[in-house]
Amino acid sequence: MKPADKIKDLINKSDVRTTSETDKRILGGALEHLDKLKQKKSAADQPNIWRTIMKTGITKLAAAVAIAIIVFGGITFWPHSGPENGKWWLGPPAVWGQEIMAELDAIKAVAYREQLVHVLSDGSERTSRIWYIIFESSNTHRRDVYDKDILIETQWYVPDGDGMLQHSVRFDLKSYFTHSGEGSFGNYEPIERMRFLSGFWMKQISCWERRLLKTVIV
Amino acid sequence: MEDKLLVLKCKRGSRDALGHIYQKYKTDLLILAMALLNEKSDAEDVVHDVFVTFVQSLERFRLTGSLKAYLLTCVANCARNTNKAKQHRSIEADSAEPVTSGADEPTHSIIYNEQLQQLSDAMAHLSYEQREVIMLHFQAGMTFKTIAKSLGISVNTAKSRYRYGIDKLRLILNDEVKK
Repeated sequence: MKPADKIKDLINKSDVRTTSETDKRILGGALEHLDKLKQKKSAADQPNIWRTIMKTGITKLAAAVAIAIIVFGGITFWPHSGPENGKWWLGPPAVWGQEIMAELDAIKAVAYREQLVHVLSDGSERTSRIWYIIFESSNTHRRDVYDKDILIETQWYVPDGDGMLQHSVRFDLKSYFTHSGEGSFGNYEPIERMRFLSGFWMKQISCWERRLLKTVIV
Repeated sequence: MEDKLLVLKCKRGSRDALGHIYQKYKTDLLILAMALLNEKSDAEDVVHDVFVTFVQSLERFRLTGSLKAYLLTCVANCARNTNKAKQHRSIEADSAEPVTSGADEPTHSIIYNEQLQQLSDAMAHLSYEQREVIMLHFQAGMTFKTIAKSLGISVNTAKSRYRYGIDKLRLILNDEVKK
């Protein structure tokens, strides 16, 4: 056998086995760095989302408004500020956004509806077909997904050791799945998510210098 | 396609995807590192360093070719540095007083077969540069042009390193057969 073939043969027949401890030792450093990268990325995510949205063509033409109706303890919460006719959303967003966030600091559980309405520059509206009712507490998160008036999916998280398990029932597809790890709700703690949404929309509307064409309550 | 997806998931911080890449290529990477360094603890360290560097460079990393070839080249580069550091250490150790250590040698849990031992022993007779070219050519399936580019040498240099290495291996392997 030629030396080149002999070497090829040895390479092909060579084998290395590792124990799980060796794998941990070899990969441990990389995983630590990956976690740091993930933390860094999620910290930088908010301005990134903002920039991405502002870059899209539709935002140049339209104002997108998301109104969250927050209910807790059976009482509907509305910010106190705003014009006398009760249309608080037409008031300065810096004020009502702050009020919502201040309320969020005090609450432990919320249920709210999330739906997006795009108001185009010609005044026409595009209401999102898919909308959600979200129930959140400090350690659970459930989201009912509606397509127009039909409930198509229920998703929920439950604590599972140090992590969370995501369950989902798709009524339209007659399917059920469960998995650990990140789900479609993102990485936010429930209350953090509400705080993020309020802050996000407040910032967005402020940045448009209140060039709000029309607001629709859903 | 699968590798591109795994890299994309890694970029998003998926530990599972990184674990998957490791499981998929660890054998190839460790074999290369063993063949180049002939020392299992060094081989482990090199693969460890390659994955750490891979993660650190993820944000700007773009997979344009084979992920396996990329990782194998990283192992070869990292092993070269380790080899240089070892040579430097051995020069220092030669001039120093011999040290008798009571400590046990650290236990390493890489288990390798007879063929890898033979390969590693044969390669130990070659210069590091010759080993590098031969292994990248045979194991990563890289052409001399690609090897030359990744090592920053001319194609002719890569070819001559390969040829001299193979000639030397012929003598070594013939001797083994005679024994």
